[in-house]
Amino acid sequence: MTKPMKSADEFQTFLDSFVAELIAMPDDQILDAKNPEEVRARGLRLLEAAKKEAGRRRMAAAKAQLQARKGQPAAQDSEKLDIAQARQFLMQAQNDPRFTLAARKLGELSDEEIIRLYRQVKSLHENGVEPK
Amino acid sequence: MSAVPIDPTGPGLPRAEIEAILAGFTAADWERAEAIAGALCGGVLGWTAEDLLQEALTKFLEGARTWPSSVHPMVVLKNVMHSIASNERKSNRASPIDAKVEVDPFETGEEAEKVATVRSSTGITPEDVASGKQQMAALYAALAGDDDLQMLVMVWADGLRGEDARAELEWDEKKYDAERKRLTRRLQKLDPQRSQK
Repeated sequence: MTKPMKSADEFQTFLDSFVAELIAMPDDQILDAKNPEEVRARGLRLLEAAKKEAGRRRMAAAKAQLQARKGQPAAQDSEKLDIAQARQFLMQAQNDPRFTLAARKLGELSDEEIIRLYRQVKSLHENGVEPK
Repeated sequence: MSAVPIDPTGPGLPRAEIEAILAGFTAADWERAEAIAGALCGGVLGWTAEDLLQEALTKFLEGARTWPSSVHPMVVLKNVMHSIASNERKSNRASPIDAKVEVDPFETGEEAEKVATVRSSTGITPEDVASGKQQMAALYAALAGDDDLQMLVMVWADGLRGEDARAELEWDEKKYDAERKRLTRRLQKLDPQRSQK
């Protein structure tokens, strides 16, 4: 019989052997004289406790994520601006006497220009520009 | 023998499937999992084998660790528990990685003094090796006075299993099975603080 090469991490090799032996061991040897129902019930209690703790951690992570989103500057939201909504907004703004928008040009503007214009008008809106 | 099925496809299982596998564990499988936890939780301050096993289950169910479908569940659990225990030892400064600790070459092999120069191509760092040697030293110390169990640990640490290990030890099947069972029991009951002594 040839001995395997000595591993750099003896403990890792020991663990690998131990787990392989455990898998190969017959159930009755593993359980010895223990009551299988009691052992399984204890395992399932561990599983239930783990499920609860995992749910609690997932909830905490979701709350933290939500909190982080709330803390983001408004500019971040406008990055995700829907172009169709921006065009719609500008179409309506044409009827606002405070702004002068050439309606015929809206359809010719690129998405980038629409967003720039949308931000300008939105900013004027928020700063309370007086009607002309 | 463990009856847990192994699915040879896919890299990681969804949470529902992980839950289903765990819920399907037999009593013997729970014993196996706890025995592995017992062997791994040495030196993790304040952790019992149950604590370590529960933390591993929690990490799978919260999605912090993946469960590879092509690996036996006991191996999956062992890998994750090993990682958790290792991280805990480092974080609570209970780590056996201590430059001031002299590792007894008698108990850890003649290569002990070469730990600092070990470089591995398998991703095992010198720190891992030092930690492993300390764990082995603690294990031998915990089994002090029981020559048969120390011998069994030694051949397993050499990578020998089953028939090969039995032949090396020159034990018959009955004795091998009995000592293997006894070692499993001892590992389940080992003091988690064994590395601290």
